[in-house]
Amino acid sequence: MTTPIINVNQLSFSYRRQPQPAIADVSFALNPGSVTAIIGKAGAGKSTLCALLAGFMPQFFRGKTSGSLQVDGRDPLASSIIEMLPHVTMVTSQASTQISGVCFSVAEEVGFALQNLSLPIAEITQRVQHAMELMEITHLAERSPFQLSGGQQQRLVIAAALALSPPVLILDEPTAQLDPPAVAALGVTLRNLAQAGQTIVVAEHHLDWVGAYADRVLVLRDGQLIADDAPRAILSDESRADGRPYCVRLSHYAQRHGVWLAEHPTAITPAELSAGIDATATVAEVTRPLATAPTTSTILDIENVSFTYPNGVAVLHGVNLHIAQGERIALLGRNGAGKSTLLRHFNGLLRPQQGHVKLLGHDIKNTAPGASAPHASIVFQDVRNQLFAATIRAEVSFGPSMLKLSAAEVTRRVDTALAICGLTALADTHPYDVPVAQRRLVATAAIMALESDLIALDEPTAGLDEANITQLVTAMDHASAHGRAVVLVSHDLDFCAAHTDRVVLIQAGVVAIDARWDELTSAQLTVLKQEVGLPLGQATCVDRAIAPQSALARVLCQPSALQ
Amino acid sequence: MPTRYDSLHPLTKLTWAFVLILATYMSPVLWLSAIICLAALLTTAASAQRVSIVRVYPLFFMPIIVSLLLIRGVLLPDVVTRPITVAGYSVSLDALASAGLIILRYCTLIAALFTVIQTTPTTQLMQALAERGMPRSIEYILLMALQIIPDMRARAAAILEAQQSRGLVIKSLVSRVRALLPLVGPLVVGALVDIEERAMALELRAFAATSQPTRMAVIVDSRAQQIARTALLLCAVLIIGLRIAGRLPS
Repeated sequence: MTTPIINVNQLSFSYRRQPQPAIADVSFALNPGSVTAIIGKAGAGKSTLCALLAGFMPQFFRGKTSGSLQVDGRDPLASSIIEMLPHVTMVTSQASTQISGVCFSVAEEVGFALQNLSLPIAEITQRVQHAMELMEITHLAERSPFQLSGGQQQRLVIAAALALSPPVLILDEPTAQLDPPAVAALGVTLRNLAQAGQTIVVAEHHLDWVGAYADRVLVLRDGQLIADDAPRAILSDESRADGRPYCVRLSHYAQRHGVWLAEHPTAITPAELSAGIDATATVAEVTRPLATAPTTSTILDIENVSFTYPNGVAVLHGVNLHIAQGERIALLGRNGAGKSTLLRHFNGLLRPQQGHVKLLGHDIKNTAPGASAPHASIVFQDVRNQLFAATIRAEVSFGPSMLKLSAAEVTRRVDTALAICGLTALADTHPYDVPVAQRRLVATAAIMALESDLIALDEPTAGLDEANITQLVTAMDHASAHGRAVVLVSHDLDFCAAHTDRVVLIQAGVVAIDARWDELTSAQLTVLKQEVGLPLGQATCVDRAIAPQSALARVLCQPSALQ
Repeated sequence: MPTRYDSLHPLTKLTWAFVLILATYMSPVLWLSAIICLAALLTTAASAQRVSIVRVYPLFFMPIIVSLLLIRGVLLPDVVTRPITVAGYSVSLDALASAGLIILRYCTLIAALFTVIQTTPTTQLMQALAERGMPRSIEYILLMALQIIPDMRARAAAILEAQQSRGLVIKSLVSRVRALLPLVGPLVVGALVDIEERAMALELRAFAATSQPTRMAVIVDSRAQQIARTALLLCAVLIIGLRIAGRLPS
């Protein structure tokens, strides 16, 4: 019989000055060589449990603890982090703050802990090289850690943890900023590490990833462990998982529409989904409903725009893009493809060296970015750069108050934005006193209150649980209902496929694809798959050689299949 | 291709720069300061990166040269001794000499330090200092200070973009004052949050380990360089002694 490497017995923890326990009477044991996922809604206690396992309490978070805890034969509650380091290490959810700040290159950063542990130079070099290869950052070895994108920084901090090669590796939301190919690669890496004997614990919202790579799932709800079982038993049962993976949604949808092979259980992985679809089924023709009614009234015209940064890096090369009133668009592309640069042209944050950007027909080359806010506004990925006010209401009021509106109009807009983002009850709370996931909704509400004609959301679902995503959809639907265009820049392809009508792929600084989801050709799907991956419906069709314009493909690629 | 100067031990370069800077500040006369400044510029010329280094010198030197000559020579007529007239203005030769002395000191300081910084990887410099007993906490603070500037600049730019994207327009003085809180607030809050999380990151990277960390680079030193550094430090003591004794040329 295998001896558990992690033993948690009736563990409870309450943060100082918090009446409710963040972790309440939790017990479980984990065997070595496994990948265990901790899932649950935002604020369920996932990060707290990870921090307890890594020995962060009481060194960094004071509070009241009861019960017992053993990790690789040591008690994290009675040991310092440095004492725990040979046994366990952890990567927290915010990659940018996990960078030590003292290393001038990625390679140095990956090897920093190994140097501090006095390992021989040859071993450090070998481990650093291996970790960088695993996380596919070897080409970034000489770059400054501070010059990396969010996704690259996330790969870096995971590589630094992998280089330590600890018996237990804990990862808190490791996929939040990674693009789909990197998410899949991380899953394979972790499985390989588990096969080699390491124990992996992952706190994760991305339930499809959990289904594909975890071999055990713990579900937390309000700090309590409500389920501890195999992925299939939990993920196929919404009442236990506190959420529904897209694979489960699509297989249930396929069952309802008679295109599911009866002998196959509900799919929890893309491979199972693909295998379960009855590719020979005959279905009635359906059309893909649009999130919003088509309109010819253009809001944004990007005409032949080229842009080169002062350091000589040419990013955009003659981009043309037209966005009409009420449209829902997914702007996709690899890291570095030019999505963020293009986004910054929407409201004049960047000025093109060639071409024109027009908002409602007016060239904005001489308009201050702030003055474009009534027509185009952006919620950026790192919401910490936006939040400053003492209350959520004050935060949301900032934008409308900049527009010189009447007090009554500001109040109306703020109340509406708070309501559609589900924040009314929290209006008087400090933005930093709500969970990280809800802070993203605060930033979204602050932009929604501007009631701009075009709203761009950069990675809006990163780190959000299903309840918060539902709230985000409510806000987007409200914007669309009022004729506002919504542009999503996201790695969450299933969310994009479920909630947008049109897909724009930026590839090496040009628009490689600009089409409605239901009009994508086989060739376009191939390009999309190579560049950023495919949503589950389209991926299943490609896997099973179902023609993209066939009746079955139209059924499988319906937005409702993923909702 | 690194030159012999580039290959020197970081502490040898640092000691040479220190002696040049000390000498120029101790020098009471223009001609001696000019020789010391020339020595600093020749040091730059001895490095492989001389072209790229010299290219930025005008940016450092010109503002201070112009402003000091204007302030000392033209705008402070009270100090006029040995006056001469230039383009209708009465200027003082003594005031210009005084300005020249300050300019030479400043140029020596910049040239000496900038050449060391540009020709020595920061991690090597810190490693050399740590090997001479500098505490790790001081090493961390120095490295962090160097890193934090580009990081803060990038963060400030991102904050400006985020606030402009929700209507912030900076035009008038009033709008600048109003912009202060939304721009500085996230910067300060972000920095405070970063401090705690970075402390955790350092713990997770074994920064608190008590053993001597492995140094990835081997910094070559030699007996000759050790003797040279000792001689330079003795020179520094001698210069200070001569200055105190009033034996430097006047």
